[in-house]
Amino acid sequence: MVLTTTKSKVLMEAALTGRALRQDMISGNIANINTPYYRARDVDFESALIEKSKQMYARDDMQVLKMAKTSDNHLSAYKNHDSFKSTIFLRDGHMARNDGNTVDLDIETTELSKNSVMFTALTAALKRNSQIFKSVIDASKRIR
Amino acid sequence: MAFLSNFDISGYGLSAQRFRMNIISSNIANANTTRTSEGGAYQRREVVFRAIDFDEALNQELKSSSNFLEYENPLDDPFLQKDANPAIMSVIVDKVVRDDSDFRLKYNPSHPDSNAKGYVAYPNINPVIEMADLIEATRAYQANVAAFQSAKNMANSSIDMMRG
Repeated sequence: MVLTTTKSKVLMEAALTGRALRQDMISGNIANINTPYYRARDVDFESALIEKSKQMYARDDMQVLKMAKTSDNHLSAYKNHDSFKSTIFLRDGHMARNDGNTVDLDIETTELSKNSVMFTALTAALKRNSQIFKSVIDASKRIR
Repeated sequence: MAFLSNFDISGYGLSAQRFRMNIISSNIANANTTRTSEGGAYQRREVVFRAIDFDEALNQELKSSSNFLEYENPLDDPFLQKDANPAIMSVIVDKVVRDDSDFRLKYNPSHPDSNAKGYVAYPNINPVIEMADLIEATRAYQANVAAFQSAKNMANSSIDMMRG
């Protein structure tokens, strides 16, 4: 038996994992703030989660405009990567520093607090979710 | 995924910045030292940091489970990376380098270390630069502390989930 009340629990867990990874990455960026040629990196897992949720709820209300192909020689629309995977990329700062480092402390700290707030929100949601079972068990105690 | 790994990432950053502060302090302390064990005046020291692959197992897993955007390098600089692999990096002190720029020469014929022309070679230390470096190191240390505290809050909120 699987104790789940909502299908979105899987998504919430995936988001939590993504947030933890992002926290690691931002910590690494801040640790390397004085490392020459270090380039700030970041992860985009939200778009992968959107794809996943679309698939889970079998909802395809996003209409995709197909590229018109009027000749056989036309190439199909460029799609390089697997949209179910999160994307890790180098964040390009404004290159204001001459040591080749692109870490911007202001960006890192704002992203850090955003990430932390979202993590807290997710844990609160998961906690609330688990309280459903608690209320069921509590209610069953009163049955005679 | 290691639960407390981001504590260690910030910890490496903290110890690297603290080491840098020690080196800067020794530069300031030796701003007027004319005698060293190598002979001659003290020479300024500087710290070089290096990014390290922090968690090889985790980074391997991330490499296979995520996409990496290739970065198009506008300057064709060979030092710059093409993509963000390894994804999670921390920092270590790579080396301490000696600054071989010229000594400050001061005319003082009565000094025992003066040369034939009466000039004394003092260390190549500019206190303004050292103070600026010291402030930079302090701020970077504080940034690491902030990252550490944020990670601690997150860990605490996930422990709170277990309290029900």
